[in-house]
Amino acid sequence: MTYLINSLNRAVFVLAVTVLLSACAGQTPPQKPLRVAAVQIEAEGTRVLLDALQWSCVVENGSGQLNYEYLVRRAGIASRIYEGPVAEFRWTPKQAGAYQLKVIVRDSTDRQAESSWSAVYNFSAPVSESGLYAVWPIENLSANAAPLGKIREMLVTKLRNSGLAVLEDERMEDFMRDARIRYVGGLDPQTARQLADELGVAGVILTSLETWHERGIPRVSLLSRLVVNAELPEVAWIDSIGLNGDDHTGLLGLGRITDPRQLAATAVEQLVGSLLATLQGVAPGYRHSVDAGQLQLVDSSQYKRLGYQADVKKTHRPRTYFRDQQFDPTREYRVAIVPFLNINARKDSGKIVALHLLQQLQRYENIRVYEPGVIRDVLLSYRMIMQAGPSLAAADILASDTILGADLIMSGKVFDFQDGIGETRVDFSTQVFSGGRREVIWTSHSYAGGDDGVYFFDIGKIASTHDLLRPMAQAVVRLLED
Amino acid sequence: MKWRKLFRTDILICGLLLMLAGCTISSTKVPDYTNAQMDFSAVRTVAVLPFQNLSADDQAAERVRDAFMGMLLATEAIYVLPPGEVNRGMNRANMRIPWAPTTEEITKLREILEVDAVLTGVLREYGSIRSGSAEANLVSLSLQMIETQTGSTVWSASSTKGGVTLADRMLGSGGRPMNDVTTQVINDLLDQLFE
Repeated sequence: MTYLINSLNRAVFVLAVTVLLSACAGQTPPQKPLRVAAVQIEAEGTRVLLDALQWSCVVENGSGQLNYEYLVRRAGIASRIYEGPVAEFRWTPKQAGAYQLKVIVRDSTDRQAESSWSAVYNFSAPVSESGLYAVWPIENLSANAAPLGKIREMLVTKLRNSGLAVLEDERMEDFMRDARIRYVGGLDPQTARQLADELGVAGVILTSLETWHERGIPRVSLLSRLVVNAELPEVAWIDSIGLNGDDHTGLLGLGRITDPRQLAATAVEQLVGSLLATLQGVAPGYRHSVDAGQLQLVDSSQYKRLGYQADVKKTHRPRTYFRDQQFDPTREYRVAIVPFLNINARKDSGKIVALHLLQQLQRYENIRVYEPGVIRDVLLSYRMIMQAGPSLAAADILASDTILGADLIMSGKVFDFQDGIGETRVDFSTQVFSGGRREVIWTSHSYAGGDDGVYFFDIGKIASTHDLLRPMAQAVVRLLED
Repeated sequence: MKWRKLFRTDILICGLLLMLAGCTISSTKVPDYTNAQMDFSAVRTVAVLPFQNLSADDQAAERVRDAFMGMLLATEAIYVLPPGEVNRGMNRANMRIPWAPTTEEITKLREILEVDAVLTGVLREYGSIRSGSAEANLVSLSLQMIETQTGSTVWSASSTKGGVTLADRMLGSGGRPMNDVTTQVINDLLDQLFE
């Protein structure tokens, strides 16, 4: 009897074990969760533009191809700076500030893991108020004779009065004579290196006179930029100002300004104010926010003081445009702007439109624009003459990592540029070429007149080409980046 | 008796309207040509060659070409090679008259640029026309698509827009701006191409 019960128990036990084991058959053991084991971040210095952060990410338990998403956070706005299969990443912030970093990893089974936000890494401005600056002779793009020396003198005086150290004129003239420099519209790498090595210059201020009208109602427009003497000269600040004698006429026209030099002095003062704000690291910039899914303005407290955004009307927007669906505006891009072609427009209008677009592009933190002098140097050294805009071969040279490494090449044509007294009109087209994909990813055509939409007593009329072109360029870049 | 009076007034108004309508410069529609054998979905990449300029404005053809290239690209149906690349291809193919290419030149261009078709064009009118005291802008453009495999024309169309309208005569306006008229012409041609 006991034997029978024992045998029965054993049989039931074996059966239960077999049932249990059979239930486990075909099931895979539970996977360990995907985990970001370590994120090593090494700061290679503390200066923007010159130095970088080196990231390396170690992931555990991932299956298949891993996809890394690198995020940075500054002023409470997180933005994506890279997404792809690379576990090691080198990144240089464009703007000064306190940055935190984070990595999100996804594997082929769509599992996701992320690191926590890192410690804060502080990056100071690429140039400081204590550096030595050279003020280059002013480039005249106005098609009129203008007192360039006087305007430069005003600029130098204002900079010195603001506490900046400016290279003495004699030393600069000696240097320019020895280095045989005639082109003052840009800074090439060799000159930048020589300036840094021989004279200890931290940056060069390049100014272009866009408009100069003495007759009738005076009109002055200036475009100015600061180029940092890095290994590859880079634009650290750019701004422009356009003033008319009748901007603030007031009661009985008492506020009308008749002397263009007075306008130039005001323009210089405003430009220096804008430059100082950048040197103090308070200039606003646009960032693509991951959380909000749209562009956001960083440091918006300076937004109004610096006259950051022009009044963009419907007529200023491109009349036709195309943006490739595969283009991701949130990614980081290096942009080369090649000189715009003049089609029946006035002399140097191509340079003016290109500078306005450079100014607008510079405001986006995910975009780095090459200094025009660097582009000119590359085009000259490769004997590239572009009669109809850049070809694939030209784009390949600019996009080559061993030469320039541009991700996007912007070019265009100017069909009309009327900045005389009377009618104001601008007509231009832009084209952006993707260096990596070798395809056109953006085209636009913009045209507008100063009196578009003006019907009664010139209310709302835009008198200067500068004030017309600025919102037009802003609208183009906004549509490209939005 | 009353209805007769009314009838006479109606006829008078209709007659007046017809006379006024006759004063407008009508944009006569020229029928386009489309090769029925051609599979247009196979055309992925095109090169737009410089247009022949028959207008008084030296740079008008370049303006219209640039606008056309941008708008064709914006359709996202066809990829348009950038003008710099087209220029390089033309130089390498030793093309002398870009608006009237030979079959050999088109075949060469296909090898160099790897395009499925080329578009040639003639800008016939670009400027303002006057009719009485009224003045308005007018653009007239004709286009041809040449398939690069055989060098045969597979599509041809033309469009004319602008001109003095009834409103211009009545209100004395100067017509639409030239860029707007150009856009109208290109839109019309693109409609014909994709219809």
